[in-house]
Amino acid sequence: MIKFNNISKTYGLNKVLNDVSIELNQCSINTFLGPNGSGKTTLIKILLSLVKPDSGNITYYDKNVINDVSFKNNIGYMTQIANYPDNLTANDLISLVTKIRNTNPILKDELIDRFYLSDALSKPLKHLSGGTKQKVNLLISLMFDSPVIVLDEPSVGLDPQSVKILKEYILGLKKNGKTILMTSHILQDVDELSDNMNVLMEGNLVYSGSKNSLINDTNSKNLEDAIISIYTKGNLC
Amino acid sequence: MLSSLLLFELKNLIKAKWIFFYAGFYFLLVEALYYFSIESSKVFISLLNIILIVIPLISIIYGTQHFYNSREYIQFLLAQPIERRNIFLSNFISSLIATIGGFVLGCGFPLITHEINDSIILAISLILSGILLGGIFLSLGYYISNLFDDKAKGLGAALIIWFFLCFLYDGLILGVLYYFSDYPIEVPALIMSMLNPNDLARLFITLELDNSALMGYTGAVYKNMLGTFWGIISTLTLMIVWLVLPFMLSLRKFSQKDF
Repeated sequence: MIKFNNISKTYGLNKVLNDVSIELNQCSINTFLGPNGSGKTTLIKILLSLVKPDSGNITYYDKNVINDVSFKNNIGYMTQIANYPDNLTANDLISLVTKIRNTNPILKDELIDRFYLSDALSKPLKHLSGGTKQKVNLLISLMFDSPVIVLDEPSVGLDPQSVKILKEYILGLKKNGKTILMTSHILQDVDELSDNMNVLMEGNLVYSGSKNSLINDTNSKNLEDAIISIYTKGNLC
Repeated sequence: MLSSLLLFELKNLIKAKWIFFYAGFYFLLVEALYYFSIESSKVFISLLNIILIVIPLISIIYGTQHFYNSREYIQFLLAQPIERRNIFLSNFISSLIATIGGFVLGCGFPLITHEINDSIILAISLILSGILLGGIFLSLGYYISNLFDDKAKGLGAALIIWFFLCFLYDGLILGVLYYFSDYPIEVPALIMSMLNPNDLARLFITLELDNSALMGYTGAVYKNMLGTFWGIISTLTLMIVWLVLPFMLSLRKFSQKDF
């Protein structure tokens, strides 16, 4: 469905991604793992055309989508840091995004109820806590029922109850045919949610496959040991 | 789409309220100058000196700072189905309207009210040069912030450019004129002053003021060569070029930039 083909990116002398190829299938939760600076967020940014790759392309149903603005209609993106113009309300932001997309946010009401956001929507964003801003961020990324959902560290800043609701929601999205791509440093989230894991180290894809294969391939007892093993040993691809 | 984005950003800037403080500052300044001065020409000269320093400083710092502070919001917009060009235009135009609006509200209206039956042309020229200077330095601020990813470097560069164009440049011209005083260098002096938007704004007003003592040597040369209708048009055209050039460069940089 989505293919990252031989993506390379360099910032100055620093090679952030080195010939990375990954395939994401429909109805799956795909996690990008790796230490800080391994290239996870850059890969997501390339998918969203926030960063231009030096070489390689990304296809969505075999169509090249690099710099394709209309492709973004298919993506719900939750940024790592929710920092919007803070004198306005979440309602203002929702109405702006709805105008940009020219689509009805069909899941808006359901998400507002699930994340207990009804009181927060009419307050200026500067008066909301970090966690509530993160929930607004989630609401905006999920409310259009997009076929591809990109979540960059989605559980950071959320309270345990919201994390639980979010995980259940993400699993529900997968059942409904969505392709989910997420980055996370929280292994418990990865363990519970992930179908396919893509481990990046210093810009190289060192593992791509299922969670169980990773545990078996590294002769580990659990995912945590497997990840530590791969971080220390390096390439399994 | 551009209009929706523009309205959204303008609404945010208006709710931030700083525009009203900025307008209030100019309003109090104009009223105080009229209160304490006997002649309106002295008000113009005082205002001109303030405008030549304050507007460039506020505009360049605001342009630089606003772009850096909007970075995450820009990333969020870039992930939406919207052209990069529209994101940049809405951000720039809303900042332009806010900074220029604050100046026109605070300085423009009281100035026109005081001069409606007297030096209205001069008042309009002063307001126009303030608007253009605001636009030019805002545009420079945006270009700098697109050029440097590091906020501290960007703000430092903005301050250096402001200091250079507002203070050092005239010193350099005077130095050149003094050093080459034995040669006919009117044309090079004219070209040198064209390279500084601050000089252009000063000349634009002083041509109207007819007060060559305030103009300095370069100004005198300028008045001699361009003190006509076409001279004023050329000055305005050059200022517009100064506004458009960094704006176009910023737009180009923004279109290719990694966020």
